[in-house]
Amino acid sequence: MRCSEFEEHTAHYPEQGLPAGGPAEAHLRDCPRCAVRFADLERIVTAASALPLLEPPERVWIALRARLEAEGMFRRRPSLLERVGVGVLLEPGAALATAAMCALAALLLLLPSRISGPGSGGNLASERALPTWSFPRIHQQLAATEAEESNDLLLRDPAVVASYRQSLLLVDNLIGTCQKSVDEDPNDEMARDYLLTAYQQKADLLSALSERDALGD
Amino acid sequence: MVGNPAEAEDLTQEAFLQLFRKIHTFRGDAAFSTWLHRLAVNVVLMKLRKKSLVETSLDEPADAEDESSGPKRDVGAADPLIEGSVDRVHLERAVAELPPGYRMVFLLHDVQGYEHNEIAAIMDCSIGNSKSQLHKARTRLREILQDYARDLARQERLEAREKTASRE
Repeated sequence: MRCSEFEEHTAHYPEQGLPAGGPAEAHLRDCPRCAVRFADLERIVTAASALPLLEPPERVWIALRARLEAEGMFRRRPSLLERVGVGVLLEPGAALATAAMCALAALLLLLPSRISGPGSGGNLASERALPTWSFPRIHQQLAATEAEESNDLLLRDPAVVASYRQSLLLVDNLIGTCQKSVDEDPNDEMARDYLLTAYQQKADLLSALSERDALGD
Repeated sequence: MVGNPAEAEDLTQEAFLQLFRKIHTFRGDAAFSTWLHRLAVNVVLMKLRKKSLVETSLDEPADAEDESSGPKRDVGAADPLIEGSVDRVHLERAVAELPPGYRMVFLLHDVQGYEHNEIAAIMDCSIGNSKSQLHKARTRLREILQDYARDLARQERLEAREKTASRE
């Protein structure tokens, strides 16, 4: 076997190994030049398989997301504030009421001596404004969004629908439990916080579903 | 592939942007990963073309390129061993010197572990073409690494000479 034939024969090594005892193997033993060449190619293949595969850094995904949002291909998931809270707060009446209550709360906290005059008892905690979340309004808005999303459920992948329904059931149960606690004691801030978190979960769930829509499911 | 991390990041971003733009054209004829790789390869090749780098056609033999770009071999001279120059740094440098077509096939096959039929689908070429490109890529890499080995040997000789001279 000549060197050129050997080269042709081993062109696809190591994917196609050298047949044992064949002329190629004999040539490899007898020709130092081809032996060196063959060993070099083996070294290259071995070294290449050990080269690390690099992951893109986080900034690539952040920049990508920003570009997708800028092109309108990807909707940023709105926070609960944006989805329901700000919607409530931006209504002129509600915004004014909230501003007034915040101002009142700040006044109560910053100027205790002036407010707590003689006979007032000075118990500021009981006079502080409670969080301004309007749970019925949040509930109403989320219900409207849910109804909107439900209209398109038939067009979706059944697996997605099943998962969505199951998650929704869980989050609705959580809302129900929290709402019950708030109804029992409307001034219980912890219960209100839990209820708010439960509503946030529902808003996130609905956002995720509408995001799938935006991406073509 | 492009030999520049910042450019690689830009191209990664561009490839995924294209993915979002063209996802509706995916018909499921091939595996999604193949489709995505093909899209990424196109983004990279487009970029390289714009940079007017030497282009290697995937469907034409690149022998002419081999002859012109490879080092001149002295007939009868012993091939230098590349053993000392096949480390990660040298190999990456050598891969960066490959023509784009060779580099792509080499990276897909020998680094990422794709099979020739998958590469053929990704690169839109025949399986035989993928095999031939890979063989040429490895041969070209060997030549580049031989150059490095020669440089290393020369440098070592110079250093040895300088040491001897300083002793005397």
